[in-house]
Amino acid sequence: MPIYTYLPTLNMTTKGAMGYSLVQLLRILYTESKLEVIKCLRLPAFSSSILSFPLIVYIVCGVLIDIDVQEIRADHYWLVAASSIGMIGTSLFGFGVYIAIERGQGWLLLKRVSPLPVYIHFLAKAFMAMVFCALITSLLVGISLIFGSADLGIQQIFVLIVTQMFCSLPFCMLGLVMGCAVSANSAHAIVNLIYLPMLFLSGIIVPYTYFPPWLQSVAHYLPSFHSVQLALSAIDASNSVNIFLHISVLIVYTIVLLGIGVMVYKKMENV
Amino acid sequence: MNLETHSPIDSVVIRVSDVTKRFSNQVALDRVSFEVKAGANCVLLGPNGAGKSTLLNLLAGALQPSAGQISVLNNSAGHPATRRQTGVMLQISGVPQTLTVAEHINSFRSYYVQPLSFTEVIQLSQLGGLEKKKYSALSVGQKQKLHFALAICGRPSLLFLDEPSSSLDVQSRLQLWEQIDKLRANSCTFVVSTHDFQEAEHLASHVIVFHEGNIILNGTPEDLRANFADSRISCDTSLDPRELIKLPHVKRVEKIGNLTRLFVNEVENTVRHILSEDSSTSQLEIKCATIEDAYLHLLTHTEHDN
Repeated sequence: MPIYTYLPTLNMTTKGAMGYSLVQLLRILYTESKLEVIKCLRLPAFSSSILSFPLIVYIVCGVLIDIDVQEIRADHYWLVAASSIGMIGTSLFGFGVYIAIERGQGWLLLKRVSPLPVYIHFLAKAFMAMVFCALITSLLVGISLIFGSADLGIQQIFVLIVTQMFCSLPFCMLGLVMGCAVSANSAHAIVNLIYLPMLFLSGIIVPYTYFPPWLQSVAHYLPSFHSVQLALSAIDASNSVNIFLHISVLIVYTIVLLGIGVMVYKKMENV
Repeated sequence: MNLETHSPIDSVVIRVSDVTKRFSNQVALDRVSFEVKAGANCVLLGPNGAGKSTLLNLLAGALQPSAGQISVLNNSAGHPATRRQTGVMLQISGVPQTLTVAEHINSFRSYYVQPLSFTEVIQLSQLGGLEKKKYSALSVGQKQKLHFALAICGRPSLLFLDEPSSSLDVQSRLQLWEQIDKLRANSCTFVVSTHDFQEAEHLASHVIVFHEGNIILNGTPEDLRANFADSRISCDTSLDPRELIKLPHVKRVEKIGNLTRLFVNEVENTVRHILSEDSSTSQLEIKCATIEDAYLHLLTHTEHDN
């Protein structure tokens, strides 16, 4: 047996709870985020469905039919509605369903036993969702500028994209809760059970102003309603003046769902 | 190629004390205790459901013990400092399908402070030429090699392998063992769970046999073979079987036609004795005791005792 000298490998300059410096963490986060985006882009079932659904909604409702929306410019409304459909879909399916699948296949377990801080893995998924939000919104804006009648300035477009990216956070957290709580086999079905009613009840598919008053009050409790109102405000198309209310509701949803997600994850981890 | 990892000489790298693991009402491991020394190749054997994979998951920090203590590399199992020095190859059914071999390896390499170079990982895991292939395009054996690559890419001083060669062809399996030997020669410690007795014969320097959540044997392969399996010596000799049975280490003697068959737990001295007493001895054939023989014998006895 050869003789080796004991040289601890962990005497690097310390750096944080996991022993990484901030630069190292950011480098890992960048690599993980890039791979998450590449992974989803190369997955036709994911990228095509996530991109095509909002495009179809916008082209049909906003360009071809130009369905009227009370008190709001229809083309602007449908642009925001379609990008919100994409944003919520990416967050719930790209984040939530994939966590459930990774759990089922053992990939999350392999990540957990590796030195990677697991929150980096989840953050990378959130960045992936944000990138897809930006991509979908940019595509829709491009279509609206070419084929539709929307007139948006550069600043409005930028604010809309950034708003949609940050509005994805509460839905990513909802995805985290579901991804850690439900099995891989049932994740898709359960996410659909939440996704489609949420789109309807928050007035994305059918404009909220058409709802009877009692249904309008339901919408006020949903994060999707507030994200749509915030996105409409971003392009000056909302009648709502409560921007801070929308932001506050979305922040509260993000924090509460993150807390629940962490609890569910810890419970899963401490088996 | 610099593969050297650093482990304390003769130090205990794994210490498991009175560990119990329960899932609801089912006891998967029942007050298990053992130690693994640095540089050892500890092979876990046992029938399905005996607790081997549960133990590997506990050692890797993927599960928490219901009772008892686990120390891995002087830290608790799953401690960040431990995870940076260990590599884990689990029986997993899926890795992201659309990423390439190179992307997976580089992603895992980025988690470690001093990872092996990309070329070293590719060489050790025999994935040369497959770097640009997506995971979905790999064969089952190639996928297994990638799982091994992900386990070793951090230059670990301790590796947990769950049935590492289960999907490999004969040649790949031999190559894998060669790479394990190479890593072990560089002071890497292994804990391997396997059902493959050839693998156990080749790799083990320390064997732990599990049965229904308990350790029924903890020792060297030699201990296992010496205590639970007999080697067999067949020969054509004029020596009297009644004299042969009196030899030390001879447990049983059979006479079948011209052939005398001796069941022994020590071969060399017995053969030497036979040849010195009867130089005309012919048709000498020796079948050494195997881990498989000993394991089956041990398991049968344990079940009988229960």
